[in-house]
Amino acid sequence: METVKKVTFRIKRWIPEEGKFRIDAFEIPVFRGMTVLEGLIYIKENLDSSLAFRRSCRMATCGICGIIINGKPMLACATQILHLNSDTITLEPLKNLPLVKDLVVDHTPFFEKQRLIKPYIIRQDEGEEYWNPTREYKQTPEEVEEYLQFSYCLTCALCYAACPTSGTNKNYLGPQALMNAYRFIADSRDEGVFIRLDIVDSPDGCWGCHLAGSCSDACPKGVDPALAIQLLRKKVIERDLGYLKTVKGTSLVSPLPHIEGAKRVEPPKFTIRGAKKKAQEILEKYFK
Amino acid sequence: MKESYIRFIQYVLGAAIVILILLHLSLFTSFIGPGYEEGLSWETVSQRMASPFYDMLYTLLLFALLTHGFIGIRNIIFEYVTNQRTRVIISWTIWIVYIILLIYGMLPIIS
Repeated sequence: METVKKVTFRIKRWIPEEGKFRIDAFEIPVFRGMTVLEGLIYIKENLDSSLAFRRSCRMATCGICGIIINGKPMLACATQILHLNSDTITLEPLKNLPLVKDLVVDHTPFFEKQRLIKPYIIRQDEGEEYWNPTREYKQTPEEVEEYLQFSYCLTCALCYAACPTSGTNKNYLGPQALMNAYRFIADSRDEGVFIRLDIVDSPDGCWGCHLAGSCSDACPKGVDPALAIQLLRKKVIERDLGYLKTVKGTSLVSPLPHIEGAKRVEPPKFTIRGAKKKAQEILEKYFK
Repeated sequence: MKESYIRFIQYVLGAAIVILILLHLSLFTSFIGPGYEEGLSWETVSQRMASPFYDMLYTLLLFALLTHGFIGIRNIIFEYVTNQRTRVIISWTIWIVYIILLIYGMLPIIS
């Protein structure tokens, strides 16, 4: 690859042993189409092997390489260096999350908050069908449109790092968890709307949002969590005013009846021993 | 009380305050009323305090402003205080102060 120019990476590294940040500068050769992640890999391979950062898919799908680039949360793999139009690029770890080392942060609080809102389809009629499915849920294209935009989330935590409320209130659920709550509430197959509305109806839930909109600005997939939070507030008020009375999920139908010889795709097997039994126990306890 | 009820009251009172303030300003200015100078004179004020319409208007305005303001203060404090127990204590303190101020504000009307 032909080098177009040289760019300096100023990396704000967290040093856990010293409990403080250190800024290191690295000059790297840049070729056309080179991403920030490729720049970091170049540094690790040629200049400083101790540099820590996270990466996996390199194609904006896994969402693990999120860092602050020139002050804005972005995916390192989806950001081309030449598009930044700068000879010096500042890189920092994501904000609002515990620091581990250099550019690596601990996503545990982020995923714990996501788990709180029960990010899965809740059905009252679940039984054997849930564990050994034979049919599909009926859903029209219009019903899919209701939540499709919100299902594009990568769980990259860029919105969480951009959110000023998450920075000041550690109990705040955050844009991703709230958006995910709305994503399942808007899903016509789901019947857990009242359960989720009770969870998000608190000063640390959907009412904690300050409408800064930085979450939607930071989202690399255009999910718009700020919109989802406003729609969530609308749902909560609708519930209080009695507009949401009963929520019945769509019915089950035989899979693809119009296609001859269509076969059902087998669900993946549980990989952890005893996981199925444990999950069944939790489900039974929950619905009792 | 559910958080959504509190926020809903906040929104409704916000809209009510806009209407009440516009009414209040209109009654004082020459738009409907006599104008500021005459409107603030002792005679006009004492005359108005004797009228049930003005009593009701200013009681409503006092209630709306105090409730809206105190819910707002509570929300701001809750941004910084995340401990649930402390939040309950702060909440009770705020509502006690709110009731004291509401009674104090209504004293001229009651008396």
